[in-house]
Amino acid sequence: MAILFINFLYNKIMNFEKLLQMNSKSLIQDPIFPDSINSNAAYFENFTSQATTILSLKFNNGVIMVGDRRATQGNYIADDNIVKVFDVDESSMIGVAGTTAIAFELIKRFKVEVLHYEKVKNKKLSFEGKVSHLSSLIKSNINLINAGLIAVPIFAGKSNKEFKISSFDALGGAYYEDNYSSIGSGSRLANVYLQDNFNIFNLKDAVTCGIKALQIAASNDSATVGPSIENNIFPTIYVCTSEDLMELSNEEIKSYMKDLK
Amino acid sequence: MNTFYVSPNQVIKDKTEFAKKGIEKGRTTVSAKTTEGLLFVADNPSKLLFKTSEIYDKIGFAGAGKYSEFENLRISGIQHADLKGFNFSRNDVYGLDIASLYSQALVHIFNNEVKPYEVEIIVGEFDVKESTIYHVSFDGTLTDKSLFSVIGGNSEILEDKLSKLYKKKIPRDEAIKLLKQFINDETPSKTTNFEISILEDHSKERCFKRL
Repeated sequence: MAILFINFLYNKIMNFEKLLQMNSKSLIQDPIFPDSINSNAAYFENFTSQATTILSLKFNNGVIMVGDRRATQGNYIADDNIVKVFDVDESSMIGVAGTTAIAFELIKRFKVEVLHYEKVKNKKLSFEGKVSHLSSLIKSNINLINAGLIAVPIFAGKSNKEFKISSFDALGGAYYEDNYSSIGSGSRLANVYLQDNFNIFNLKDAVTCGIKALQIAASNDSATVGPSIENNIFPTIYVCTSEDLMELSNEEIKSYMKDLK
Repeated sequence: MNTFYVSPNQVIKDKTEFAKKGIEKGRTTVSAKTTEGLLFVADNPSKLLFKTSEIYDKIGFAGAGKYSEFENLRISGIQHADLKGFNFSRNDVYGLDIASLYSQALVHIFNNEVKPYEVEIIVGEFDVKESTIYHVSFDGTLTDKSLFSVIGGNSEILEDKLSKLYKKKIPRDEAIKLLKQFINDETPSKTTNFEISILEDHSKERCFKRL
């Protein structure tokens, strides 16, 4: 009995020591701001993939979403071929910027929950319903947001007979946009371009405008990759019209890009 | 409190009789394999309360008997499928999972509850090569059907009758006509409102569609 008890105690102490060791390893302190939250963010930035620019704009018969293909880890380009724009159901699509691990899980969960609602209730969730649900999903990551691991989506689609674009902030605040919006590291550059050049286009012009905005963003933002035929890098483009939602193929995008030049 | 001994034989006999009576009151639903995929034809006067439904990408559902009871099963089937698809992958959700889930649930209810569920369930799984139809009865008996399955009404007799008419896979439109005619001829209700849904390849993830 006594031996058992001693064994038990010994194990406990050993475990505690292990725990201490692990904690000291993972705690990297910022020498200048030891208590700063941002020290965590800087630490994570080099080890987690970050997704970059996504933009969305309306046109005369719907709305499109264009996303670049780059993911970065600090200064390192982690991937030049990732997809950051997805369809949710037949009438809405979602793009995402920020920490990809969180963002992709968020999208996966969001998609499952939207489809689950539709199947159980035999009714489609309204656009506003989806936006509100997405808000609460973002906010449920509050602990990770504190650690600097932020994922921000942009959501667009059909709402009754209108088309809507909704952008979000890191805490889940949802904002409906009039005509266009963009998120991610290149978003400011893309926004400036769209501000100057936005019009109620037809589909072809809207797609070329989107691609152009992405090129502008890529020209000054190192974390965004510009569309390029030479390097075989084509942005992901989803088009939502009153009839359906589809992804443009690389060939189609190529033909739009050729017109651009 | 007085308790009387009732033999297990008698209990099961009574429960079976009770459940069968309940199901016979219900309207008939037929599921059949067509050349394109799977087809559900349900005799359903209501346009809001559905008897057939989507469970997952390639899996469909049809229920007969008491609405509240098969609705309950339908929702738990969807939950199970969605959870499994979320935790693993969308390709890891099989029709047999859902059918055996229903089978387990119905066996448990039949054996342990005072009142058994008065339902019959069909789970259909679309596959490009060969689709599958699972039939689950009120006591949890799970069978797979080669060509078609009938639930609701006097389903065993109806199944015998249909086997003379439906001998091989036929195109969807013909099958709809045949099954509508069959339901109108062989069952007492003479509705014109049918709930028709299909599980076919639409070159999209989700195969289920209401017509």
